[in-house]
Amino acid sequence: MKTSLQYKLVLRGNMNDPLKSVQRQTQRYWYVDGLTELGTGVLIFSLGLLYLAMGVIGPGDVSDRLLLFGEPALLVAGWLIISWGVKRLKERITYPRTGYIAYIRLRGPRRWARIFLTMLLAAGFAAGLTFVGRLGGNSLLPVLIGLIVAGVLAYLGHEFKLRRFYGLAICVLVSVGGTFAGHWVGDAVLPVLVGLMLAGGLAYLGYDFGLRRFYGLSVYTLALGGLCAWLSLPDSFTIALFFCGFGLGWGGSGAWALRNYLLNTHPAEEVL
Amino acid sequence: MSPDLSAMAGVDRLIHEPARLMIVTVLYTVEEADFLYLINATSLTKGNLSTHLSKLEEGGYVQVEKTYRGKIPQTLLRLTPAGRKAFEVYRNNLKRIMDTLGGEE
Repeated sequence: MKTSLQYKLVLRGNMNDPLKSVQRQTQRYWYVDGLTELGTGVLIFSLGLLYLAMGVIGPGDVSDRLLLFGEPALLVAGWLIISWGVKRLKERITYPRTGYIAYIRLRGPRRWARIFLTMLLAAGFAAGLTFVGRLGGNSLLPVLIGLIVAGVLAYLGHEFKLRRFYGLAICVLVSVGGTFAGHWVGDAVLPVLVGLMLAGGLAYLGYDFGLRRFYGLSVYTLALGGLCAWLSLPDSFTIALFFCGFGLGWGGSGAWALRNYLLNTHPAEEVL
Repeated sequence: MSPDLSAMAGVDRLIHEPARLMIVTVLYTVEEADFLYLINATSLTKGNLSTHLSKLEEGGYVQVEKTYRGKIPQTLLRLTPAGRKAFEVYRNNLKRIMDTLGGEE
């Protein structure tokens, strides 16, 4: 005789999972063409170039201003431009081939609250980086980044009632713990720890959305962290190399997905 | 019969049909989708999809809007508030049935 747990597993396997599978397929449609990854790659790569410029200029007022104003400006403006660009490209490439969907969006005061919170987080992010940087504790930067990311994930989990986001936040917090421990281990291993943190997040996203290429990106990120640690460049150049490499990884993954998408789909031949 | 199992009798037949369940599940996840996306997502033929969408529209669960994207005609589909509510009730009923069956040994 089957136990209640076995019944539940059988019934849920037959009835609930297809519904979830259809929903997941719809959710991951945003990534089907790789355009979002390409855009994200460009943004991360630009951030890497900013850090490279700071490394070349060296410590001083100009470098501080770049970090204080240039970074948030690049993040906000870059995000807006890339969002606009990705949307336009989807209208030209994706929607005529495999159809159009609009995801559920918040409207009214809640939408403005979300925008305000995002801007506040960007400002806090930049201020935190500057503050920790001035303390001379560059090795604590990944801790700060991890705490912010965990906070955002927990907020999203609460906002959208998605328990898996709490799980992701806990994963990030565990990585933060490891990175904090790395503060005493030394700066040399920090790129490995940051790489590990991001690789874990990417692997989780790959699992959650059922996107296998994110596993490849996860392994690449891990290797990139190892490479940055092995090269032992000065701090600014290590960060620049990591971000440029990470951006190239995203861009490469997006380009690969776009190539496959264009090869496997064609614009609809007749009006529907 | 367990009171929870009686939920089986109340399952919404308009949604319960597999093809329509797939359509409603997709539309529940999004604000709106066009006809082309639904064809790709459900693998139904155009005729089949049209028939099921008509039934859902007649039942007041789906709203159909004929529009243009640039110069190209486009059929947009979205769940009405009644359709969203019906899907949530259907899902809860199904969960109750499974929980009840799971508890009876």
